[in-house]
Amino acid sequence: MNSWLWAAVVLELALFPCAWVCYRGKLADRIVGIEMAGVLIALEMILLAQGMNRTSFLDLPLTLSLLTFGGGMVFVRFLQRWI
Amino acid sequence: MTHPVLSSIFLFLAAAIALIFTIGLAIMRDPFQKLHFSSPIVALCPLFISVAVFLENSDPAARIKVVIISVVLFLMNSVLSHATGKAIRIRDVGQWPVQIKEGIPLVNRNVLAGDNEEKPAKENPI
Repeated sequence: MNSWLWAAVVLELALFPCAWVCYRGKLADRIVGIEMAGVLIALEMILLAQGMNRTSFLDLPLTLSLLTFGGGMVFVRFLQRWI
Repeated sequence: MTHPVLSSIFLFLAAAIALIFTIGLAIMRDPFQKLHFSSPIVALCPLFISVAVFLENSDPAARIKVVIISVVLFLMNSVLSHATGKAIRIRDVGQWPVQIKEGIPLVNRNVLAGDNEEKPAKENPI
């Protein structure tokens, strides 16, 4: 275990409050929680790729950060108009 | 040249910020308050992680990718936060502009937000 993996563990713990908000909150709270979880998972993937010395895995958080934005915008549009 | 101690300090800061502000996000009641708690995570954690990668990894491809990820997260999440707040307000109130009946005073002015009626300008006596 190096410092990168320890930081990844802490970021994984930080996902639990987001999961709690998604589980217990109202609809608007859940959107915020899932957006935050997407950011945390992207950061976690950076830490895991660096901690395991697999820098080629950094393509995954790059893709995820872009998809999180697109998915979040779709969720938000649905929340505003139809849900 | 690597700096493992320095990079560990930056990683500790990033992890602590993420943990503290996600707990704050869970504690807050209002979705707008929750949105405010997402900003420090998106602004500071990618920055600290990028600095840690720069200190410990000499591979230019890895450095460029981490910087791109940080910039994408920072810019796009600010747009997403604004869009989320706007959507929540439209869903709750029915429209985006502020109405007078909401009673929100403008700072340093004696009018309420949403009072857009044009008052006739006084004629210049000269």
